[in-house]
Formats: sequence, C-alpha cells, structure tokens
Amino acid sequence: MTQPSRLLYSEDNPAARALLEAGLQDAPARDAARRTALALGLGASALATVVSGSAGAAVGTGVGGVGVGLGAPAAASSLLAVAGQWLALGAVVGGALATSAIWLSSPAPQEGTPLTSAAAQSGSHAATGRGTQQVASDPAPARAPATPPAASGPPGEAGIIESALPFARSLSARTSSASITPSPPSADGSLAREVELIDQARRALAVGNPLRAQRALAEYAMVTRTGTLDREAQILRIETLLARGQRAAAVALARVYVSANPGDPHVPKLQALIGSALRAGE
Amino acid sequence: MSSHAPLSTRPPVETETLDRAVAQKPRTQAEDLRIAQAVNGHFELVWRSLRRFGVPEASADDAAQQVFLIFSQRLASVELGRERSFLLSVAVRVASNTRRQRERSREVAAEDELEATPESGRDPEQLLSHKQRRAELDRALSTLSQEQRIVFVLYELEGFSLPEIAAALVIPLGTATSRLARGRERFEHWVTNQKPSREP
Repeated sequence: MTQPSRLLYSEDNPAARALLEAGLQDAPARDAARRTALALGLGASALATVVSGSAGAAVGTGVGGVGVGLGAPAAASSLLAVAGQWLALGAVVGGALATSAIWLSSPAPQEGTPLTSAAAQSGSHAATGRGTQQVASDPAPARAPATPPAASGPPGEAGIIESALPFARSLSARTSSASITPSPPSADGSLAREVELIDQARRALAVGNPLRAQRALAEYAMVTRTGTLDREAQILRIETLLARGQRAAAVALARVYVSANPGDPHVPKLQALIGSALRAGE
Repeated sequence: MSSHAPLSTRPPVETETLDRAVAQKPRTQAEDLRIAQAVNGHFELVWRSLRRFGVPEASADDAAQQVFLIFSQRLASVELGRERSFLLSVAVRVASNTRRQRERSREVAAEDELEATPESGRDPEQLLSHKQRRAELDRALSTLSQEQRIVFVLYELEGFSLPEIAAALVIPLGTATSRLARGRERFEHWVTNQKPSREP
C-alpha cells in the first residue's frame, strides 16, 4: 500500500512542517522515565537498564542479590564484588533509616483517615472535590494474543536469567542487600542528601503540597545511591498519588508494596487504604 | 491544588484496574526487565503522544505512568514485539480519560500555572518560541476530531505506518486512512488560514 508523504518532510507546506517540528521538540523531563520505573517497583537489575539511558544518573535501588547465582556471570560478579561494602554501609545508615521511619510508625489509620500521620494532623487537608484520575481500561488490542509465560522472558534474556525470583523478594531485599552500582557511594554525602529529600517530601505532603513532594521524590530518585530510603520513598509516592487524587495508582502501588513487604511496619496503613478501596467497591 | 483528603471522601475509581492489582502476582525478574525495556524504549514516545493527544504538560508524567502501570499489569497478554502498539493503544485511552477529567477538574488553573514553569538550561527567548510553537500546534490539532487527531499524530509526528496505526487502534485500515486524510485537511486548513504569517 502506498502511503501519503508525511507533512513533516514535505516542502509543500513549510508552516505545517514547522509546527510539527515543534511537536517533536516536546520531551519529558530527563528523569521522568526513571521515576516511572521506580513507581512501578522494578527490581534494581531492571531499573539499571532504564538508568543506563540517562547520562550520569545514579543507580538508586539495590537488589544485587537477585542476580547472584542465577546464571548472569557479569552481573553476578559485579554484585558480589560490592555486596560486602553495601552490607557494611547498611549498618552505618541504619540509624538514619530508623529516624526517617518514625513518622510512619504510628498505628494503622481507621477508615477514612489519611494515610500520612502528618497529613492527619494538618487541619487544612479538606477534600477538594477533584475527581480521581481514572486509569484507563485496558484496550487489549485484538492483535495482541496471549504470550507464552512471561517468566521465560524476551528472546535473549532467557540465557541471562536462568531463574527468576519473585518481585516480592527483590523489593524486600532493597534495603539490606547489595547494589549493582559498580562502586560504593560516598555514604556521608549521598545518604545525607537522600534523608534531606525524603524529609522535604514528607514536609511538603504535611502542608498539602504534593507537587513539591513529587519534585523532592524525583530528585531523590536521581541522587540516591544507597537505596536505603527506597521504602520510605515508595510510601511517600503512594501518599503523593493520593494527595493528587490518583487513588487508583496509589492503591495499585500499595498492593505491590504490601505483597513485597508483608512484614513491613507500613503494611497496616497500606492495608487500611486497600481495604477502604475495596469497601468503596473500587 | 489538591490536598490530602480523608480516604472515605474520595470518589470511587474504575474497578477493573484495582481488581487486576489485587490479582497481580509478584513479577519475575524477566518481567521486570521487559517492563524496563519498554520504559527505556518507549517512554518518550508515550509521553509525547499523550501531550499531542491533548494531555497538558503538568499531567503528562502521571498519564505516562498510568500507561506503563497498565502495561505492567497486562504484561502476559502483550505479545512480544508488540509492546509499542499496546502502549499506544493504552495511551489513547489514558489521554481520553485525562482530558475528560481535566474538563471537569477545578485544577485547570493550577496545571496551566505548571505549564508556565520554565525549563532549565535553555535560552528564555528560544524557550518562549518553542512553547508558542507547541501551543500553536496544539491549537491546530484541537481543530481535528479526537479520532482524527490520534491517527494524525501517530502518522505525521511519530512515524507510524497506517497498518501499524490500524492495528494499535483496532480499526480497519481504510478507517485509519480516511481519518488521516480528513485530519490532514483540517490541519493544513488551519495552518493556511490562521497562521499565514508564521511561516519560517
């Protein structure tokens, strides 16, 4: 079939072409793809492939253990090389993690209570009436038949990953296991900045500014090298989504988090959120 | 600005996605990698398409995230090699929902404010010119019906073939072809009649 020539390459209508060229110059923020990958809860190995497209970006979350012993020689050796360093770092930063998690340690909320204790204390958080952003129904294209089991992976990956670990294990391992970052971070500088950004996001949510919180979390995603506060960041992302009216996405992320971290102290709150969604018939 | 409202006051959301999320099993590493590849390879396409489908800049990141969230939930049903088509078909639906919601939303002003947020590292004059051009493009696209707009954007801007578009949108090839033809006609008409002095 012969297709019409594209206006973008046409000499016949330069004004139309110029407008279309302007459209091609529109691009997302540099870290937008990575933020999406983080929000989806990708394991570090997968996340690293997203990061690799962003010059100078840090590998934020560490799940090094997933690659070890799974038939990924290059990745495994790299991971093993840094595992010890990261485990040691984990002990160093444990205190900071505990400090930053204090705000999340309050009892699970009752139905109708905001997820964030800080937000609950703020009297200014009234409902705005903004409609919840609806997630589109899957169109399930007719020409996309069911695939073989996804665990087999795309061609080429099967040889690299001989066995897949559950996502839950990979996510729960993030705060204690190795990272695929080839060199250890400067723990003092990186971690201090990570704590600062998490605090910024928390404060922004507490005063009802989810956009500012989102920016802080985006910067966290860019600068983090330890991955120590990833769980806190995930919780804050869920809260930010809630604060922005994107409840469906928040609940979906909450479910992923709960399934990945069944013993986590945040789980009661998240289960309350999920439960309220179920009771609302969502 | 939306504030943090009590959960019980929030309106219900589409149940299908939540039900799917409940049923979601832990992902394997291979599945994670496949999602990462899709994000790597198609995020910009999805984001830009959402913008040209009418999603405001301030909402584009969230909308793109929704697209990939749905992709991750439906991963097993997406044929290998057809990720791009699937993502675009989801993007069409997400854009439609986002636009409808925005029309009802009280936050249009806030989002418009965000649209004006300066991009760093670029010459302000050049930036203004680019923004003006993009605004003109969106005005021109707004003269098309949504169906025409989607086909037009995918063909003219993103370089999809008509058969690809027809497959992604699950419409006959003839329908895609006619939507493109009518869309081009309207687009060129707008450019010719509304902005004759803006030719480069």
